[in-house]
Amino acid sequence: MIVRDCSSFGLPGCIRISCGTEAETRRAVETLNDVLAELEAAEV
Amino acid sequence: MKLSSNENPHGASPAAVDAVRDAAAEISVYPKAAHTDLTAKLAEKWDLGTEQVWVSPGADGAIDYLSRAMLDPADPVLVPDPGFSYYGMSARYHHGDVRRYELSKADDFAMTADTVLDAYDGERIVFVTSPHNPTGATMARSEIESLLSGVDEGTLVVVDEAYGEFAEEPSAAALLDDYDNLAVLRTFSKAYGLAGLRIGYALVPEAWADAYAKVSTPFAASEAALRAAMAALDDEAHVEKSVESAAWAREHIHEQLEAPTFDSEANFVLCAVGDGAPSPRLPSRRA
Ligand SMILES: Cc1ncc(COP(=O)(O)O)c(C=O)c1O
Repeated sequence: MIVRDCSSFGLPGCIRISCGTEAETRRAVETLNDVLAELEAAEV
Repeated sequence: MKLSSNENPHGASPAAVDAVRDAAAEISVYPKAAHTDLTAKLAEKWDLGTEQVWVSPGADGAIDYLSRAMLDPADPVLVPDPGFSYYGMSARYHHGDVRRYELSKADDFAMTADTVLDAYDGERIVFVTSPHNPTGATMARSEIESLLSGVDEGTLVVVDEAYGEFAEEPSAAALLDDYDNLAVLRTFSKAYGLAGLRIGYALVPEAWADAYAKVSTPFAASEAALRAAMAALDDEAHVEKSVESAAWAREHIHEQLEAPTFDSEANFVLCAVGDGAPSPRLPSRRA
């Protein structure tokens, strides 16, 4: 899955997610939530 | 799955796809009648004169036309930061200078006339993106009016509405009757799903009637693109579906993503997912 990393916009730590179809958007949000949870777990 | 370029996930209207197929039979001929026809159709849609519609290869092409029409070497333009990079690139290609006005994350990237005027110092072109890329914020029409009144004579305010179909905020195009220092950019790349064909346009003041011939290439857009754009305009149901689908997706991301998000009136949502450290899992792309 590819979303837009916004560092080049001067917004490090931000991503821009394009609206997909319903199925794509649901999957994108799930995938990102998994990654966010993993990152959080790795930090603890 | 690529959700990085704000393309239409439903593709183009089937009627536009048919129009491209039909155009194949005539691609040995320069596009002339189709250009006139699309211009007339857009003039009718926006209730403007045909000379006020500048068809271009994407909104990017329209930005180049405006740079060419307005900029002498070293003339400055004022662009939003963060913002769409092509404004500055185009200005530099035309030997112009680039200055920036800040949109503040702490302020949810709010765009008012003062956000721009506080930084404004007589620049030749001032760019406003509404809905804004990448924040999704809009500038209220009343604020655009204040901005148009607040800049010097000789400054052109360009309102880029590449994502305009997705927003509740009405187009600034209606202000063209009252202001001759405004240009509005629109594109078929987003809500109409024709990004690969490169077709967009600028709406300009009546007083600019003669300028298009001086700054445009003789055949600005391809026969296939022109015909697809006309077919796409006629398929309002496809645009409606695209707009509704984007509204649903925005809501879903706002509600379900476990990270702060910014309100958006476009077909994307800006999300604050990290502390600013580079994230190798999330590769980047232009647009
Ligand atoms: C704000 C903005 N303006 C203009 C464009 C250019 O669109 P196009 O040249 O495809 O019409 C884009 C495309 O991403 C955009 O985000």
